[in-house]
Amino acid sequence: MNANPVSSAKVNHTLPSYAGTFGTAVVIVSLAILFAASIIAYLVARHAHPDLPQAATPVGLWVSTALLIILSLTAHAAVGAARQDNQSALRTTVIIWSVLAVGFLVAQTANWITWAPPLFDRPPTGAESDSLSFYKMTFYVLTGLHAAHVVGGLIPLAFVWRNTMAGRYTPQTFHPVRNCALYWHFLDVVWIVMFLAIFVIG
Amino acid sequence: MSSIAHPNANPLPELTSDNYLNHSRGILSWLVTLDHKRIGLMYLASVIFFLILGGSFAIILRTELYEVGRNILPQLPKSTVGGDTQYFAWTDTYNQMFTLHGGILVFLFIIPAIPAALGNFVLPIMLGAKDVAFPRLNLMSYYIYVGGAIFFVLALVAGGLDTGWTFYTPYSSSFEKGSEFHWGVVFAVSGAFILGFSSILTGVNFISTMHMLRPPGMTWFRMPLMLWALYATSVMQILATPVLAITLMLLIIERLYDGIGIFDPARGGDPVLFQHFFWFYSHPAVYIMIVPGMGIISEVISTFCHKAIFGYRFIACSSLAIALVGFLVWGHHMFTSGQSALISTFFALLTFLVAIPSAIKVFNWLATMYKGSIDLRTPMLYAMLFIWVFTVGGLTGMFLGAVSTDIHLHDTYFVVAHFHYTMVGGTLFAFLAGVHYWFPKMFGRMYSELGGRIAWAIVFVGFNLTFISQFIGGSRGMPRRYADFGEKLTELGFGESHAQLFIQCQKISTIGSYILGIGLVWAAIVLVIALFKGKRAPSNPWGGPTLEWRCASPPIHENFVDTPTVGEPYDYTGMQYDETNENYVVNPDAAPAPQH
Repeated sequence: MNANPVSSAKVNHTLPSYAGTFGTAVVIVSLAILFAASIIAYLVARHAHPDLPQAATPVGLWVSTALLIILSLTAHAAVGAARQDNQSALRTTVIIWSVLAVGFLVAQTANWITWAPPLFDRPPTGAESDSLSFYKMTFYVLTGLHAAHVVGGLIPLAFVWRNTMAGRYTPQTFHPVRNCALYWHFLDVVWIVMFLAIFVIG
Repeated sequence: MSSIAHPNANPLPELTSDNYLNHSRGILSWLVTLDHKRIGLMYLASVIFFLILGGSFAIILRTELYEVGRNILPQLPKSTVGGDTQYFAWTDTYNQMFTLHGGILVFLFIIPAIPAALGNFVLPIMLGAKDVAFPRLNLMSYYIYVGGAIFFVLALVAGGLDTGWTFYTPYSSSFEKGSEFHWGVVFAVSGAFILGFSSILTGVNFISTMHMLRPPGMTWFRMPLMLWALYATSVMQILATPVLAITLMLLIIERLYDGIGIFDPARGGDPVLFQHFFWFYSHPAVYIMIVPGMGIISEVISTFCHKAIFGYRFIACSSLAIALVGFLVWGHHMFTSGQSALISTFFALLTFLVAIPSAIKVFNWLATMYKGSIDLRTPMLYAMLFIWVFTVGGLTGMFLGAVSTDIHLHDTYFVVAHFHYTMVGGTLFAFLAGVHYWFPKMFGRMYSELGGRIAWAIVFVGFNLTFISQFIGGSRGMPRRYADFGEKLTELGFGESHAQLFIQCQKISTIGSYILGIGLVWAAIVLVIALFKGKRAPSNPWGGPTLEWRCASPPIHENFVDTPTVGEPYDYTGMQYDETNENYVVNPDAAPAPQH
């Protein structure tokens, strides 16, 4: 085999600008497996209890779903604004984005509270009480798992907020906005799949 | 290869010259370091601590099994009611011991030992980079590991953990009401859950590093095989570990909140569902344990045969193949769980597929050694031990992968011996090979070659004595997880001759484990002495071809002063032995070697 020195340039010690996006994507792949496994666990366990009543969809869930979809669109707009160096549009969209993120959590908390009565406050009898407690757990586990990741998403969003207000994002350095948006799009997709699994298939 | 005496060779720099170990000083400079080499060493210290802890449990267990009846295990307190302390039976203590032995060694030693500890140290250097892609994330992974480890070890003082390292339901989901000491399972399961995050984040970091920080010239098929192995491992870590996370979370919730049935049959749950989810993670996890070890072996064998690795692309791709097939075989842990015969047949067939990439590696290592100029240094001895032990472990795996024989061998010591041959033989020996191989690079000092070889010989004898006796007993039905092999055996229907054989096998196994323990302690003493008194190590004491041997021993903070030029991997062209410094140097004027 020949020694084949290809390059004598300095070792590239700096990360390419898209490294963060790549890392975010790898994390999202891992999280996708997490949510897929939990939804599969739910569906399998649900299948084992065919006598369970179909869950009624609380109205509040449509509200939080709508909030998350609008959030996704806003985040997309924020990335576009940062890419085009439109600082005022970036500021506006990041503010709306953050308000919607907090709004989603508020809506979910309200759902958790109002959700309970129609599902659990009927006087449980015999085998039905087991089924209901099963439901109780799976609902709260699935939506809780998602909510935990929404809370986690507030941390990068806070950084994006700070740097946006300081005007640090330029078309050359807008990647953190894109990475953050990518994660929130993912939360949106997971929520929709989960919603379908619990209330349409379940 | 020729040997030269450089009259004008530069003397080695003193250890006090600037390097990563003394680049900044003070305990804080270590605790908040972002240097992958220091983080690797912190991992190394941690995993060795847990190796000692888990190994001590093993020695206690073997001592208990040496004689029939109760020998040394104490009765642990269970609960205190009105001043009256109640105690667990001593056999319960035995259950806790083997569970913690397995749990600590699997989750706290084997899984992080090679990727997180050695991998962190060598990956960026072998790649030709300054650090991993996300150094802060790397440090965070370490502290998550420490946090998970603390939770796991809390199980020791919180009533113990007696479920087996697999946390099977209903052992893990049900507990005695009113007992004060039932938090052990919750702590340990939470610990394993937290450790999963550390594992995932390390995987994310390694994958990103290999995608983003390859220097010019470092194409995918020029990466050393250790890096391919770490890549395959990282892929498994990010794809399999989340499944364990959700499984353990459901288990914790099921245990803490009464009246919920996912896994617990008493509550309308399905314990086999737990097994499916658990093994969907844990079968890939056994390849998370073995594949990086195979990477080390590929490096060590090439270096000490002074010969390019045979079948580079095949070895690289076989790591990925193992990672892929590893996701499709989890059902072979569940042949006796009541899953359908058809499904079991498929899982058995898929299991046999794993033999192909594994055998590709073994044959390629042997082909590399063939006509190589073999240098029987300590790392090479461990690598050869690895090949022997891993082959025995792999071949006995075929008996367990075949449904008909597995049903006979299930829950016997045959299984115990098989997975110790693959896990200890695979990971621990590869880890030892790696530690000895990179020790001069890590600390800039050489260990005593004679001392290392003697330790290796003791380990060789001790390991095989311990586990071959278990194969013999296990193939005749010696049941695993029994605290005592006394009169109960005849009650269970074993004949007198079987009972006597089992008692003898246990004795031999115990003696073997003491010898193995002495060998490991010996190896540790040799390395600790070298740490303080070892001879100054040159940059390339073994004649290694990969990039880490082109930077100083120990490396400087930035790894490389000048750019390493990245050519073909495993290129020994122009490598000469410099007797003055006992170092290997590359003669740039050497004529290219003829093409093979």
